[in-house]
Amino acid sequence: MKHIDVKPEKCTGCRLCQLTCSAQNFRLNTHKSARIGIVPRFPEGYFEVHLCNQCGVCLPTCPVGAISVDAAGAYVIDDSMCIDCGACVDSCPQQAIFRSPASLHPYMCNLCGACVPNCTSQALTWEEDQ
Amino acid sequence: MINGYGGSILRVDLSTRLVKREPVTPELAHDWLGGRAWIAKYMYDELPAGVDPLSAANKVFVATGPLSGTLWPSSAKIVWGTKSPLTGGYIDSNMGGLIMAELKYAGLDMIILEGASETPVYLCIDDEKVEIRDASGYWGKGSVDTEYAMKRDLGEDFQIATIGPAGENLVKFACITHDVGRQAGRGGTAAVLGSKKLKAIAVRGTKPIPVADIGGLQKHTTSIIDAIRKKAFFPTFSKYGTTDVTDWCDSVGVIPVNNFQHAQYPKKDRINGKYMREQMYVRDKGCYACPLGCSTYTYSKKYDVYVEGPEYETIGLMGSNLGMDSIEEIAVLNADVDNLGMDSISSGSAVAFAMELYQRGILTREDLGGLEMTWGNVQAARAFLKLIAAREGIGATFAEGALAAARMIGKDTEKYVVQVKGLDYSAYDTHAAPAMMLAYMTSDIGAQHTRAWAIVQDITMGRSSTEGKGQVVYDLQHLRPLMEVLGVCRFPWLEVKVDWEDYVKALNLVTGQHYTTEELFAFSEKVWNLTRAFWTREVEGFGRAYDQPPAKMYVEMPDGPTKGAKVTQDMVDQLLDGYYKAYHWDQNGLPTAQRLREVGLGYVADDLIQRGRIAD
Ligand code: SF4
Ligand code: SF4
Ligand code: SF4
Repeated sequence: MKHIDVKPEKCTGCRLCQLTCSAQNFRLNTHKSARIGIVPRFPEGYFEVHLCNQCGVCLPTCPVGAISVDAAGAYVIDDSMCIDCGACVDSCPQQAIFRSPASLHPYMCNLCGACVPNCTSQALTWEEDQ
Repeated sequence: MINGYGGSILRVDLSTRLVKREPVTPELAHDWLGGRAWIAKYMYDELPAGVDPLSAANKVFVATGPLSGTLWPSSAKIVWGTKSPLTGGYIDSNMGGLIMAELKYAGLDMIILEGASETPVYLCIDDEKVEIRDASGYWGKGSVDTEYAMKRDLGEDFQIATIGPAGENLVKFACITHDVGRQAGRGGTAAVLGSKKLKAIAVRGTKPIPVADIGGLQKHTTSIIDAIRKKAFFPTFSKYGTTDVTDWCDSVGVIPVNNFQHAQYPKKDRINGKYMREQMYVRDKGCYACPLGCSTYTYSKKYDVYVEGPEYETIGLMGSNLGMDSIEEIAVLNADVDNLGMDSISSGSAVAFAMELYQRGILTREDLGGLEMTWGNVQAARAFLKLIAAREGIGATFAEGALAAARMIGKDTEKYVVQVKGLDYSAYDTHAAPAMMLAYMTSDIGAQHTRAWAIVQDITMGRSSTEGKGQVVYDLQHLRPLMEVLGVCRFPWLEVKVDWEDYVKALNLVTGQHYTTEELFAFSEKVWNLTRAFWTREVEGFGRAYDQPPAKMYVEMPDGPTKGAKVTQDMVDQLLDGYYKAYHWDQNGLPTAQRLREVGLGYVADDLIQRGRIAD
């Protein structure tokens, strides 16, 4: 299986990944519904990239068992089960589980891959799992 | 809901503190698109003729375009326009960063700032909630420092544009700053904000921009980005950005040296992009939705200072043009003017002018506040810039801009100022570049390269030839300004050759309309006529006399690749004749009533006739 490798030192803060992600997953023109987070740190001059790396920490924290792993290896929150308690959001070591008005429930990267080709600086690339 | 638009215009009266939302009508969106076109229209329609730029009656227009903030590559432009305190005519100046998107997410496409506050304030837009708040805690602070402080106070998710001490002190080339190092640099827009006591605009929004065909836009964007990645110049431009052109400008003899006295720089290897990256690289930085990320964020160890850039224009104006030793000197000067909130181009021009007057013995050390203004003296330059920003001593004279300073100093010094219409030349010498010179002469804000950049055409069509160059500049002036109407950066088109038709396609996917290139070019011509009409209305005696190149261009270039080159009055006349003809303007360069009517500006024609500015 593949995962998305993140090289934050290459990130220019352009938000194209977020714009693409919001368009792909929610049909919205915004960077604010994305399943990936970009946080600028200035004056030091770098960008944090927050993306699910399939570590699995969130899974056992869900009190109703709404989180599962799909065929591609992505972590998925079942909307019909989620009680929106926020336990997973707080547990994520990558700060990569998000909330926005686009969804009633939290969400994370579903490995759709739409963002990868639009990240020209190659801060996001596909890698084979070891 | 209108696709491509936030939906409203925010009108802010700083005198009465009344804030009003006006809807963007389908007609305004369709017929005038946005960006600089809206600015040109509102400026002509709403400013009282002859308004003093620094009076409460002047207004500042801050406009996005229909593509600003969309997924389309480099949709990162917002345009600031006003009647310029530096030139007395039309100015618009755009910046990148992220604020254009945020504004549209707050449901706004344009802000109109009117009146003047008595005390320092900032405008805080948080979606529907708009407040004029006390800014006394920020007043006096640097532009970049203010942005950091406001982000701490309001939240990281606010996007903020600020003015610095120079704007507060009405320095006539004060600029607006955003996202650390993106500036609306030219023409003193920040002095107008300073006169209104508006320190900053902070904005946060949550509403996505309505797009007619988001799936189509995503597909189009992804395919264009795929093409961009394969373009030959992509790796170089995304790495070096505008600094890449430094060596080339040196080799073809257009880099300004010691206030345009020479056009080749012996120390160019110490000021170019390669050296900058070796010495100071921290991070590549990109504006909103930009696959090029042309900006380089740097740190100078020597001066312990962070700066975004320097960009080529700053390398030229504050580097070679001041005889500076290396990129680190340029970086510290750049950081200084960024935080003081002054245009690095006009700042460089003002310092260079002072240095030339010192070189010629016209101004002495005593005249210059005790500063030894020799070429390359970075400490003197830094001190001089501070005097300007504070309007202290001789700084008060130069704070008026180099041309006005020359007029105050007298002694026939105007001939050393390199400017058109009061706006200082950006970093391209035109002793042997007639088309570029014409671009400077006729740009609708003064000597700026962004409306038309024609050095390549000068090289291919002949460095001393004027033949066909009026048409060249005319054509460029149709396409380039459209970028600032749509709200996008010109670099993907200019540097990696994204096809113009792909912009039109993106515009139609976003708006759901059916614009054509032909239509858009005709529209561009209308806007160009409108800004020309504004100058005609505002400046008594406007015309050919205001389209003249700087006196320096008539002085022979002493050395370098363009050795011996100089401009003659015949050349200038030929250039202007060809150019006016292309626009169907009269011999004096004024838009005729007939032409104004043809391009859809009948009401402007009537107004200018009634004011006695043009004949019927
Ligand atoms: S697309 Fe790439 S460079 Fe741009 S913000 Fe996302 S990770 Fe960073
Ligand atoms: S892979 Fe898909 S879901 Fe994950 S961040 Fe990229 S676009 Fe969003
Ligand atoms: S090319 Fe440069 S200036 Fe233009 S949008 Fe991209 S980063 Fe900004």
